[in-house]
Amino acid sequence: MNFQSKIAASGALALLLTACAPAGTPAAVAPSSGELVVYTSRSEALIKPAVQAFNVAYPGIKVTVLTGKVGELAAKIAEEANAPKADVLINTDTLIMASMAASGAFQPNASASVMGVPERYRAADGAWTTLTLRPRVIIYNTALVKPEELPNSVLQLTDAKWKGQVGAADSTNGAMMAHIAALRKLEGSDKAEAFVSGLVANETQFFGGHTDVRKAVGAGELKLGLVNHYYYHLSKAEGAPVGIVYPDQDSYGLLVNSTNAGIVKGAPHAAQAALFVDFLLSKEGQKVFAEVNFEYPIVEGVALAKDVPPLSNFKLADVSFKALIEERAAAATMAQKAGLP
Amino acid sequence: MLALLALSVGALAALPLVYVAWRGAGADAALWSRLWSGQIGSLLRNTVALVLTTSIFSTALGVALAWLVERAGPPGRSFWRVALALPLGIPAYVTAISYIIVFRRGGVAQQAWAALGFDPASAPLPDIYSLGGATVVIGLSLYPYVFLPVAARLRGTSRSLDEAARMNGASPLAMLWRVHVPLLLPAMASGALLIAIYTLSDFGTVTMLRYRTFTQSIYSQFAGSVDRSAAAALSMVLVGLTVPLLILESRMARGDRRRQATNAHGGGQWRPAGRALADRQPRPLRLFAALTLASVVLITLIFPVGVLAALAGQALMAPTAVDVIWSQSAQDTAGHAVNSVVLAAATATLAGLIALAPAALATQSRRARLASIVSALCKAPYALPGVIIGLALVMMFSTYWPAMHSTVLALATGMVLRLLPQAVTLGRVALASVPQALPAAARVMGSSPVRAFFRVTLPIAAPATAANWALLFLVAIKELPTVLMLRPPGFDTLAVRIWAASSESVYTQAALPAFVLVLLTMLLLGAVYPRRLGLDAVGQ
Repeated sequence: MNFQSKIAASGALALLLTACAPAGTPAAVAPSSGELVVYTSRSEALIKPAVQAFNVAYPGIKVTVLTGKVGELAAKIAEEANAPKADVLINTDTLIMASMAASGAFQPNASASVMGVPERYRAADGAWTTLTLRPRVIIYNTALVKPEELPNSVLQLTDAKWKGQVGAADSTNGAMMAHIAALRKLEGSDKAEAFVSGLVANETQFFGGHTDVRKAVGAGELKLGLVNHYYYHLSKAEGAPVGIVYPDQDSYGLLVNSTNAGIVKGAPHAAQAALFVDFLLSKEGQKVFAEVNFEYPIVEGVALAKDVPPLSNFKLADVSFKALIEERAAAATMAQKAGLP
Repeated sequence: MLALLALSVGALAALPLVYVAWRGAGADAALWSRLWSGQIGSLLRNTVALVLTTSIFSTALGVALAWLVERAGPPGRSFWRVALALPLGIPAYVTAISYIIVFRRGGVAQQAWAALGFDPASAPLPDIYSLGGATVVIGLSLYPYVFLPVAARLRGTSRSLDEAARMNGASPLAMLWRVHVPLLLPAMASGALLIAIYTLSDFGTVTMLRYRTFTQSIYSQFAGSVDRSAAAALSMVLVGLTVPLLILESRMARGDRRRQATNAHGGGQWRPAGRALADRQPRPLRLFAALTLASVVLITLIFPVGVLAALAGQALMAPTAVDVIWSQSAQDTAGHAVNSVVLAAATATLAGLIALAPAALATQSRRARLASIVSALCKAPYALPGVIIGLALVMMFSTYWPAMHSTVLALATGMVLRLLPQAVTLGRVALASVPQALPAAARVMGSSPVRAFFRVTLPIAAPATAANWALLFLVAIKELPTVLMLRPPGFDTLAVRIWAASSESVYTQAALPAFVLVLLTMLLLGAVYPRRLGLDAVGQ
């Protein structure tokens, strides 16, 4: 094949691919090849299916994923600001996402798919957007805990009767830290601090992520775990003896946090990054998170996985994560003081 | 010239320590008081407890095994010498995976326990996620640091001593306590100190076994928040714990060398202990020795490798849904293995070369004072567990040299710093094996110092240098935290893959890279050991 026909062929391929790309992608800039570097605090098992689905739509784009912890990646992106290596950040901590956006870490993204996300769940200029929602729940081992003993509030996890029996994520976990920040807003800083020191004093086992928590509860090493809802479904799918409590329905309501995406300012592969974010917000992309990982899609009209109850069944906490940004730093300081690992 | 070169290597080596100290000291008082009330107390307790139990357990095990091999007369002595050194090639975090799989709640051990008629609720098996669990797992992979030097010392002890004790009617046990242990104390103590230093720097194992120590907390402060001052502050406390151990270690190493020298020149007739002595032991003792050694090899070598093979097989033959998603293919693993090998080979070579300057300086007796300063500087990274080297370099590069940040070059720099203390120690031992008279003769014949070094000293030290390289490679390929914190996107090593899968409890996916890693280290040890290139040097 000579040089010119190669160009023609790849051009045709590009046309073909953009034709099946999600609506809203400006066809003119849609590249069919190249690279994409994704930093993410999501676990590898959860991000890989999304990348695979993306590669079905765009087989020419080579995606490199670097997994890390929320704070680590946020700091890394800030440190690389002069010579960015990452194109897209997908993270699990709305508060850090919003504060990164405030310091100019992301570029505005006014694509139709981002603007289609309810404004409560994105930056006004689209610099970051929510991808999926996940409520905070309590998972329990059905062989070890009777239904009548169950706590109905997250705050009851500090009860002495659960001493050494509760698992939770540590301060490296975005969802956990966002949870503490929300508690500060809803219940006041004293109560939130008492909760965290109560967890520590109650010999709660802290893990780097929720997978360990759900495994420990499923295996009976622990009776209860404070997790995101899909960890219950993942354990259930594996046949573990686990049940779920949607807590705080009589008080402030269920806390719901989000996973998010933003295109890094100065991203070396900005066009591919835009394609990727649009893909994640397309029905196909959303379906991956809903089906593989039982999450709540942010895009309407994407079906929930089997046995996942709609969020409208529950009383939801009246707190916008966007309103919590200033609480995040205070929550981190408080966690340090209380000795949260 | 040499002094200048050596000094600059030392300065480079000490840079991360100085930087972390500076950042830690600059942390505000409120942060210190939060950390102090929140965690430093319990971290100190946990860390000190683990270092004590592990050093005692490993040292006792190492001495007992060395005595059994060298003095109790088991059949197949040279086989045991190699087999008992091989756990050096299995990182403790890999051993931890095997133990977690078997001993965790609902694991194989508990099922067997229940099948034997015991109720796990009323008569539980010991908990693997505990001080005891961490002690055993780390201890089982570190005991060679005592075993190797003590066995070497036992081989080197004149048999006249054994015979004199025997003629005076000492039982084998009495000989162990009254003759050998006192003789072996220096080797034991320096081995125990090395074990303590390695335990302080362990990151992967304690994290997997959910035992909270400083390294693990430094990492979680680093990973959890954008601000690095808490991690730097905790690092300061850990450095404070390590430095006294290092000072003690270098004091002892000096004293030990002096004693060896007086032994060598102190007159008397040295006679090798040899085969004859051990073979005269009573048959039951020899049998007991062989059985004990076999069970230790079973526990430290065959058990972990077997569990890894079974897990890797399970992931291939009967993959679960999670396995399918992770799908660590053989091809991926091969790529990670290449990264591991290239990184370890390049950094071991580089560290070995850089270390030549301070090592050569140390062999020149007329510059003893300068040499000891440089050597102390080069030891500085020893006081810095990989977690802190990673932290320091991330902070330094991102502040002063952003273009270097998260590149392969930054990663290699971190690894070279991590290897430098060992490289300098090993290099000094290798160069010291060259009689001073030979390069001196070359100088008299009109050769320049540089030429004398490369034409005379280096060729004579070559075999020892090759063994040193192998040891540095071994340390490098097992290294986890430095790589974890400094790797650029897309540059994963086997250790990082093992970590990524284990930290999400997907042990089946950690098994294949772990198996390949152990295979590589075993091949290397197998290549080095039979040639007797001085694996015993690990104890130096």
